[in-house]
Amino acid sequence: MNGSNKFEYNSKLKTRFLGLLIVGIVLTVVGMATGASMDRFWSNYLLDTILFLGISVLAIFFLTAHQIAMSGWHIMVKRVPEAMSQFSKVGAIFMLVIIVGLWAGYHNLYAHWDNPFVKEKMVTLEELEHYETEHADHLGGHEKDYSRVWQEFQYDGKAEVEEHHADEHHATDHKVELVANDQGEVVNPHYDRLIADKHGYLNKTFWTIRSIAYLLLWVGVAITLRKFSLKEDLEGTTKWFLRTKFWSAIFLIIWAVTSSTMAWDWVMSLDPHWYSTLFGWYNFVSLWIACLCTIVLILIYLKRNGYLAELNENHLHDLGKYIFGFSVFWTYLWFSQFMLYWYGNIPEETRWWLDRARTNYKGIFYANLIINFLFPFLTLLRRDAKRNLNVLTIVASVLILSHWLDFFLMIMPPTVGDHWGIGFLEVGLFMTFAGLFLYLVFGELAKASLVPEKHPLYRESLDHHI
Amino acid sequence: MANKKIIYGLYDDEVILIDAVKKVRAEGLKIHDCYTPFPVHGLDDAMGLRMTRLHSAGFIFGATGTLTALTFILWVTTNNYPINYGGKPYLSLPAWIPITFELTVLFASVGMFLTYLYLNRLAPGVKAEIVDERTTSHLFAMTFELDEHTSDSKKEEIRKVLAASGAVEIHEKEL
Repeated sequence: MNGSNKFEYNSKLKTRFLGLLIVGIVLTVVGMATGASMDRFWSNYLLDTILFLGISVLAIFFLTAHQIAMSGWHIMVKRVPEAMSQFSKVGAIFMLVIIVGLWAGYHNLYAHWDNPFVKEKMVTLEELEHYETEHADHLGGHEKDYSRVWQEFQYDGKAEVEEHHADEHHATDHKVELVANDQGEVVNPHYDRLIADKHGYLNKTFWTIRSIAYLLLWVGVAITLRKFSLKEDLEGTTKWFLRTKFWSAIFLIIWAVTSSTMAWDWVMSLDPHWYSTLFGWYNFVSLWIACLCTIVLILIYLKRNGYLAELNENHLHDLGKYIFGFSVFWTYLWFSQFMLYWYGNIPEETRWWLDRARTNYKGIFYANLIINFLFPFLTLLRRDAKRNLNVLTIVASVLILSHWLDFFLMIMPPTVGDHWGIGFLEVGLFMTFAGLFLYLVFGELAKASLVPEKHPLYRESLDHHI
Repeated sequence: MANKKIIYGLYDDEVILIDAVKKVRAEGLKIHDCYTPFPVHGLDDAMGLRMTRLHSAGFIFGATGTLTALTFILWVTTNNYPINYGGKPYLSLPAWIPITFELTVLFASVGMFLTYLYLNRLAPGVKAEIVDERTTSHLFAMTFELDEHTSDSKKEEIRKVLAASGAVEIHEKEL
């Protein structure tokens, strides 16, 4: 115990984080060199960007929600999410690469809906032939999906609906049925009504505007709140507390909307036929648990290294209760989403689970449920467990990885289909992001006292007892 | 119960009470119980009470509820009265989960509620043992149990320690 609340960012720690980053990059390169496809790279890039950007943005949520609830206990832990929230600046840049990539064609992540041809109902035969030659690889693969079955069913009713066996036919087989009209146009066999109908919302321009707006709003609030908090350290008046309160309320309104739309735009739109109104919450809770686990791990690290002398098991108990409670809530959302579609049994809706539970994702599908629900439920159920640093360390580390897995299961099936894997690339890219995240977050921690002693509710936090 | 004799000290502040509890325990005296008008944080720790085992009982009640629901629905839907709902198999676990959840919560909460009443000897019509009526509004009591073997010198010692630890009143009473 050195009892100090000024974090010293020593070079040993820096080297360790940079080492993690470099090993991550090397593993990623090894993964790419040993045959991982670009689709797989971009899917993983999106996954890690969403996870780490999400963790940093949820850190803002942690601060603002507690501020609005006038919570006193969290003052002791406040500086950690505050430092984490500053990573949103870097996370936003990572996300910008994906946004630019959509326009520049780096990746095919959103190719399902970012495809003007499938939105045209009538096309000329030349256009059709051109399209089919251009997309010959995809039309035979996983992209030649149930949408064809669906649109045929909707529009001419002539084609036989042979569900789930689309691979046995070639797209061109259907051309025999095409009869041109007076303008020389035929009904586009690739026309996808579900995607065409969503065009008003799900189009490149609006998607880009929305995505950039989310990033600007989040990063703006993160910078503002950090600035207020640091000024409070110097001046100690309630002025900054009240200003923080105002911006916290604003952020919560922003977050109420953007948490859902972010999940629709960046994750759910990978598979634009399928939709779920719970999806936004589901993503939010997944990221929220990952964020809480990160806070707990950083706090325990600091505590074990002699900082945060006043932080005691009561504060950690509260965070443990959050992790426990939200893991149950995550399961509640998982199950609510699943059961309604299972009961309804509409092919276009159940397909999302068939893609996961009846394919080679099966193992991950069940593992996801067990690790994210049963594991924290049984380990954190007891009061002693939530107050035990070792138990919390293990549970928090496992849950961060298992929520990575949760996103893996959401992102991979529509982007790489059966050709997924967890190898050098996946591990490497996760380590790259984790290394950079830790390097920058600990850098932020070193910039200010670990406990905001001038905060009006500081005393209350000291006396926290449950 | 009629011949249960106690000696108790009354305090007018919870901070003094907690310090007094620590002091009295340090003297080696065994406190019977403390009565306060509102929950006092840190009093349990100061008195050295063990954690309640009510939540362990809750877990067992909950698990009983889970098992009851699952076995009963299993028996009804596959054995006693199988009905085909929308082409689903008779053994449809997802459809049972909501009921299982409800029954788990019901068993756990009702079970814990009744256990709590039993442990605290509370029920409609039962007369509560109130040491001093003022402990329900503004005073804090620390009590010691007495029996026929308790010597006068021991009583005297308790009175002294209570007075020294800041008690505003000290009484002896038969409940």
